[in-house]
Amino acid sequence: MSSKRQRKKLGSGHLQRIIDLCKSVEERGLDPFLVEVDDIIQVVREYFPEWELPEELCLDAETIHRLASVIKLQSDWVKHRSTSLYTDPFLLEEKIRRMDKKELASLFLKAWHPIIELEQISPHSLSEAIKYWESLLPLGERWLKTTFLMRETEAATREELIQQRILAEKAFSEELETFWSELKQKVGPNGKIRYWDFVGADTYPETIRRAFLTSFLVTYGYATLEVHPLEEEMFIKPFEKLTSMLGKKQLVSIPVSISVEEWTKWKRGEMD
Amino acid sequence: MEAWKTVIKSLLDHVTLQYQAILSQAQAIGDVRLTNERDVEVAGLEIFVGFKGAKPVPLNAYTQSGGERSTAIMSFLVALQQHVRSPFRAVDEYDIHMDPKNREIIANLLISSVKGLDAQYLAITPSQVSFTGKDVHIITVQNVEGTSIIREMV
Repeated sequence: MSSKRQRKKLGSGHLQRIIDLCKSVEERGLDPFLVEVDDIIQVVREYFPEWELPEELCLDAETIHRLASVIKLQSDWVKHRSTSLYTDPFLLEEKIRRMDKKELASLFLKAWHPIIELEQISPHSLSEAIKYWESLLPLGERWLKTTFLMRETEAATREELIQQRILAEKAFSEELETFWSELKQKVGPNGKIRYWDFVGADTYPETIRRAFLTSFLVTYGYATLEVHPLEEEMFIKPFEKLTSMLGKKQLVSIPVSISVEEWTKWKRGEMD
Repeated sequence: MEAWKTVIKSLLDHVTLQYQAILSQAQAIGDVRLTNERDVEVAGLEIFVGFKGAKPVPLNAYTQSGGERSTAIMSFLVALQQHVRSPFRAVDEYDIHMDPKNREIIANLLISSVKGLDAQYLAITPSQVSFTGKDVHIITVQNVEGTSIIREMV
């Protein structure tokens, strides 16, 4: 008997707490979804067979009433959210049109999350952009200008594009490999060759091209430079295998002058 | 917040590995780190790179050369795009200041990054083109005395 009384006491306490929770959601405007409706119904259903007295049945009825109010709040919340998420596009356009330019700009800045900004957006680049923007012709005039532009379409062969130097004849890495083989063939028994003896060519432009390719051979691990500052001599030493520079000590840049004067001296054999 | 951190860190782990693999082809090393990870609003990424044996340092406008910056950014972009499902990607003048070796590495990467995918890559460049392969479609546009000459390689 006493256990039945204890269970009733526990149940009425439980229902009172549910009523208080529902009241606070209603009165304090809390999120109605804080109330777990399913769980509460389970509790109400569990204790319902115990109630006999009118005040006990009244407590049960009040719990259901409060719960119904919370469910109504939940329903209103869903209705409000679903309608506020849908905005008429014409209304939206009208709103944007009526907005103050400053307000629009500040909203844009708030919503703007550039991925890369360090280089592109600096006070200097911004002022350059403004200068560019201000120097632009009005749209109407710009369109007038472009109407005079002619357009022609035609087909082109691979050979034509190579001739025009738009397309590379062979991959740069292939060119480097060929140049590397040439270097390996030209080195003496000591495994090295004097810089000018390898780079020098019949014409100055070809010499420049060879020096350019040599710099890539050295930078990308196909060869290395041996510099003798006192003798003012420099040698190129090819590696047998491509050597990775990763994890090695930092490379040192060596400036090499390839002037017409030096090329002429080399041609005359004055560099020996 | 914890869920966000877990997802972003896992994505970053994958992107970093790919970024490092791409950089190694350009004889460089690098890393990508998450900054301000406790606040989504101010969180960001910091890209590190070191070329020619140098230790990786943050990518900025003062340390690396223009070509090195372009190479590092493109390496990161391609690594990131492995996780993007868009069937259409475009990059404009991505190879400015790159040396011919790096230009070739990145061009090959752009092609290989969409290989096997139902996707297209539009690459616009003022440089000499080194794209190769049967899936590459080359269109040139030249302004000759006010006339735009558009040529399609056949």
